[in-house]
Amino acid sequence: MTIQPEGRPAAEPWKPRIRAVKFVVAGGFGAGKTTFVGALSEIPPLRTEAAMTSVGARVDHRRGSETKTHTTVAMDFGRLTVDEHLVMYLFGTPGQERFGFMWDDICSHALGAVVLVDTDRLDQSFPAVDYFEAKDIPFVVAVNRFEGSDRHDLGAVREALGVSAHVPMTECDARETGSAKEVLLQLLDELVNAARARTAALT
Amino acid sequence: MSASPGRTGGHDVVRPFVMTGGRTRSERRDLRIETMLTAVPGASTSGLSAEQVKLLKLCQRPQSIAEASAELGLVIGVTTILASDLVSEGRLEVHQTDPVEIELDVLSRMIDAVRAL
Repeated sequence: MTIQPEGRPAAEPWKPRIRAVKFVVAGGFGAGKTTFVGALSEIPPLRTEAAMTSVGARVDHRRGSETKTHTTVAMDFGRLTVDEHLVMYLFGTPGQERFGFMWDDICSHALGAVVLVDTDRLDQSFPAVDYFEAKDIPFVVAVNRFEGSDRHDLGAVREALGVSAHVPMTECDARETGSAKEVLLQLLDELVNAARARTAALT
Repeated sequence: MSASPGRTGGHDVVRPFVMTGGRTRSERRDLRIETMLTAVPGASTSGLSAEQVKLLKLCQRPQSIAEASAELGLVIGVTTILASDLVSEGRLEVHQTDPVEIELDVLSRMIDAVRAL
């Protein structure tokens, strides 16, 4: 049996040509990550699992011991097809801060990140903010405005989180496509600014 | 005796890696969760495991490793290793994964797509 791709003549020379770019949506448990991904995704968010086994094996490698952490973490993700050559993926990071050490596998080569904040649980946002700052991954902070909750003083949230002044911060309703897309556009604007700065530095 | 095979604490995660011969890490560094894969036209399925055949069939249409994992019900690490072997054997092709800095025109296309939502 052979596999024949749909709609593609076998004789035609073929080169892989779809570029996939990745964005990460982080935040504490219940901050609305999957809701946010779902508001932007063209498919209902898919759930998959990553095993921590490999992480344990890598960490303990030098000691010659093979420690296996028997845990999987679930993550939800969505997709946004730009055109036939470009696809955007939005990955929700697995929940709690104790999984921070396995974010490397998920976040490597991410173009940027959204940190969703629940102001009732501000402390749960610290690991994500610290992580993206340490890894130099551009990010924006979005305070999820849950139904019935008051508007927030973004300056106070910024101060509480210790987020630098240059990091964009906004409020959003993660359930609303229109609101979620403004957050993503803000992140893309940041990437445009960074790309322009790189170009300017070269000339 | 009250042993319940397969449900003993903590081993539910290890078992999937039997499919990979116990390997938990792919040799290829260019396979990330978002990496797109496509079956090579005419690729043979002979000698493959059932999971690899499923993966190859799924990849008749371009799939990311994450999507294939969700579809096949495999943990990401297992899919990556199965895919890695299929790539080495020339049955599966990896789409562009070069860690290039993103170009302005690519960003513009993304911005247009997001605005259109």
